[in-house]
Amino acid sequence: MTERTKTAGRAGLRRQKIARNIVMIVLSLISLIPFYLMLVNATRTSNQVQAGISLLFGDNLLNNIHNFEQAQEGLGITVFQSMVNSFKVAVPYTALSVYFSSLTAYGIHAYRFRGRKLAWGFIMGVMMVPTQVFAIGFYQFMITLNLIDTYWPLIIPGITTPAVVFFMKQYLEGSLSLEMVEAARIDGSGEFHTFNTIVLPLMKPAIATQAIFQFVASWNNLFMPTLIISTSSKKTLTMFVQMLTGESFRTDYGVVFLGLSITILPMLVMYFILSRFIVEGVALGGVKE
Amino acid sequence: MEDALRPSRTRRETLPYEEGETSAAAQRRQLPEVRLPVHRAFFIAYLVFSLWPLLSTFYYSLFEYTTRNLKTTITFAGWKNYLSVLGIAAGERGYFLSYLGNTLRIWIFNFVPQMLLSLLAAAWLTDNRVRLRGGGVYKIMVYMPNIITAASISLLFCALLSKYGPVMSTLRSMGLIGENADIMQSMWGTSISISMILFWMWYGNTTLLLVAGMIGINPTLYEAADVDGATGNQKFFHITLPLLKPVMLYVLVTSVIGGLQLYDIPALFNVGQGSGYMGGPNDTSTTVTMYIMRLHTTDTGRAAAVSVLLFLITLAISLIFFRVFNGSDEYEQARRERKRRRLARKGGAGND
Amino acid sequence: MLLEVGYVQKYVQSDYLMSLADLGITAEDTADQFAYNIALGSDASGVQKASFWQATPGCIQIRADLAEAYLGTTDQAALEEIFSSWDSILEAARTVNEASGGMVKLFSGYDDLKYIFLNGARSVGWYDENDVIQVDEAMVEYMEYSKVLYDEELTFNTAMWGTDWAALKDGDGTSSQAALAYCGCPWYTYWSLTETWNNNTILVDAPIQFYWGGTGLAATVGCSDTEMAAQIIRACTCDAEFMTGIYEANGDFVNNLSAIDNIVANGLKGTSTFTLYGEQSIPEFFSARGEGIDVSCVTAEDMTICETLFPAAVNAYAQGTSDLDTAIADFKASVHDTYPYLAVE
Repeated sequence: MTERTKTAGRAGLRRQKIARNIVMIVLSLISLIPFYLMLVNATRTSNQVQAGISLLFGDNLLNNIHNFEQAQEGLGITVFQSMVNSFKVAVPYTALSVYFSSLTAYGIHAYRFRGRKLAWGFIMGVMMVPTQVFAIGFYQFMITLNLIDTYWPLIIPGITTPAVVFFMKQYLEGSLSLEMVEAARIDGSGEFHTFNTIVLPLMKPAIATQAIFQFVASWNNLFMPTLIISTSSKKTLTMFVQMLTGESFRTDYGVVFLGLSITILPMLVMYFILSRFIVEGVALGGVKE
Repeated sequence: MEDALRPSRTRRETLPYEEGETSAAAQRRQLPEVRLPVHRAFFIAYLVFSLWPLLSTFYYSLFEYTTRNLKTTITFAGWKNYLSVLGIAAGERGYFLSYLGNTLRIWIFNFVPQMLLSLLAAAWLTDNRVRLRGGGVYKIMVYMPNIITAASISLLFCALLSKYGPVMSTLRSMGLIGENADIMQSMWGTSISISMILFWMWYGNTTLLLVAGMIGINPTLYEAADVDGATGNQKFFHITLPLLKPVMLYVLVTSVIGGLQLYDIPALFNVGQGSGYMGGPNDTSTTVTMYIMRLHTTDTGRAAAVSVLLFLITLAISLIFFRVFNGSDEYEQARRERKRRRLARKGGAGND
Repeated sequence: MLLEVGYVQKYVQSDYLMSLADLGITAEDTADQFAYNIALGSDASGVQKASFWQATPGCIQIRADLAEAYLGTTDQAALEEIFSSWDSILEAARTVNEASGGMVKLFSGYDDLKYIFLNGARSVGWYDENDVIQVDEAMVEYMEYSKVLYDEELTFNTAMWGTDWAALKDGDGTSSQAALAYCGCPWYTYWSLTETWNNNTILVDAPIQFYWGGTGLAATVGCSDTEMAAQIIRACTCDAEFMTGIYEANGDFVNNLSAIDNIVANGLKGTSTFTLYGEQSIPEFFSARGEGIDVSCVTAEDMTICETLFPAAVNAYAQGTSDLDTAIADFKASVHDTYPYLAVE
């Protein structure tokens, strides 16, 4: 290439760069602005909110908080209670999901047994089935076990989460050396022991990633809790959000936005603390299809 | 690590255990057949929590539930629930089909723009010539909507977009519209809004997946193309896209499955009396899962029938996509390969 | 258990509730209740199982300051005249709309009028004795009326209980939009009207007498303490003194004739700070209107049909999405889908 084409090329590149950067910034802002607006509106009165979009915070926050507390009274549960409930479900669910999925993945990966192919095919098949298809049968099953309106039906299914098994298996394929397992076996370590002491620590990055995703999935789930939980005081955070569409909140925009802000805040905070892990984790999983 | 990141097609088409076989061959000598509590536990768990509910859902779909004045009578009904839900039986409306239509419509208007934008964004983020600083920050920003509870997001946009809400008022005061438009009263308004919310939530995820896929493509391919004088566009369409097929397939299938199951967003967007049963203006944005939720308290039979139909549709669509994306001759190739290996194994089995 | 009018019949007709007689509450005790409430709480054979403490005859609430500005009067009699027939209401709606340049309209939405038609104008229920779905003439009338209101843009087309519907209560008519009148009843008056309406509300009759809602009590068959249940029900729904106390606590219009007479005669005020415009008093207005309400067309499925399914049909027709026959056919199909035992024909 001649000098002139080179500089012309470089100028063109710079223009492209600037243009692309601008678009990226715009897209990022689009991702953020609704949340920002939400927080701003939580501090304004209902009339102000109706009057138009404002980028500046208002001064009605305390009033909105007061009204929100009043409106909450008729619901039988406070927003913080529902957060605790969500937490009570999400933590055990995540623990079960990550542990048993790792176990299953290890079981399929490191051993040869009859029906292995069938088992793997079945797991993959289950992954494709929408949750709702299980839901009806599962619901009736829980009724017969008398576990409806408790948290068990929301926690126990954590044991069978095929997507996580898939992820763990891919990870094991890439990073577990079976020779180590061999060595441990020769040394007399029991299979379970080997799993707990050697394999699990090895899978830490995958476990960390999946723990986050499973926690988020459980925290954000609306369908299953709505199906299972009926007592007000046991409702989870997502169910609380649904209650925000009800009568007591309708009339005051400011209060609705405040309620939304409160419900979104925990996830928002968690995300910004863990954002790097999360973003890397997405890439890690997806590429292995 | 790089190996693990490369989206290899062969890896996916062969069944996983084939790869592990060689390294596990050593094990086989020591443990020909392992029966551990692990495996029993695994079978029991999946049996109880996956197979049983699945089968019992199907079982329930064969019964007719009539609930009147709190009394429920259950009678065996064979295929009646299916016929009723599909509108085939006399005097029945095909509500399932219209809700399916709603669901697919919402999904398509979300997925197509999402895929296009994500491809573009991913291409830009992995472009080595036009390096964008702050790509990491951008990824973080763009993925965020995915983490936030869909229910909250849905309500947020519903409040923002309502007739006397902030967005309309601002547009009006800027003189862009004559008077406040009521999105909630228009079927397309609601439908497109829901699609846009979905798009906004998921395009970050798709972008990140595509970026990872693009990184995994062997750079020497691009270098070779450069030597041959290929333009950026040519490289994109002839190298990147074909090699991204596995990732795109994954995104497509997961998006469809997720899209068909869509519940959170339409259940909270524009639902009038605060119930998640009938969506949008006059039931035009109700999805299939909302229908299931609506039926499950009074009519378990039909709810189960709808679930089973949903499952069949999901299955059908996934299979279609796999077929289309794999192309028929590759599929044939894979089958021939598998057949050959099976024969080889049979021949070698005697050595165990 | 607590029961709302919308679904009371479902429970009353089921086997889940104990009859009041079984609880030791006799016809004598309930004699002071408004007749329509007794009917609402009784099953097909006349056995009363649910007892209401609220009585909820309907009315129309008019905002005095807006009435002054756009209807030109705050005289109750004159306003009564205006709201006495559907045609005069239509005229008034046009006047208000024009005079205010569209900033103030007579009603927030045609959805607001539904209870007048549903609970006052119907003569037959949603299905006949053969469980075949039927649509009362009055319902078609309501659909037509809604269409006129929509086509001429005489309302803001809001749905009840929505954020915009609520917002229109507080508009000032010049810089923000407002609705002049809302359909109401006793509990609406003290619960749903905002500060803007305090000392600013005039009550008039609707063209048709109707009722709206109401909460009651019943004991379920598995009740563990029937003594206590009977005591509570008797106190809240039959005891004149106790019910006067309820009124004083929150302004509820109670389901007890002697209590109401007492309240009106002695001008009892209670703790509610909400007052009507001028000399009107809430209990006095409603006391005359509790009688003569016909509830024979109430069915167990009313709640879903009246709150969700029928408004959907009204919207479809009024907004021009479907023609009348299609809207009604769609409506019948959706009722059948929700309650498969009701036939479309």
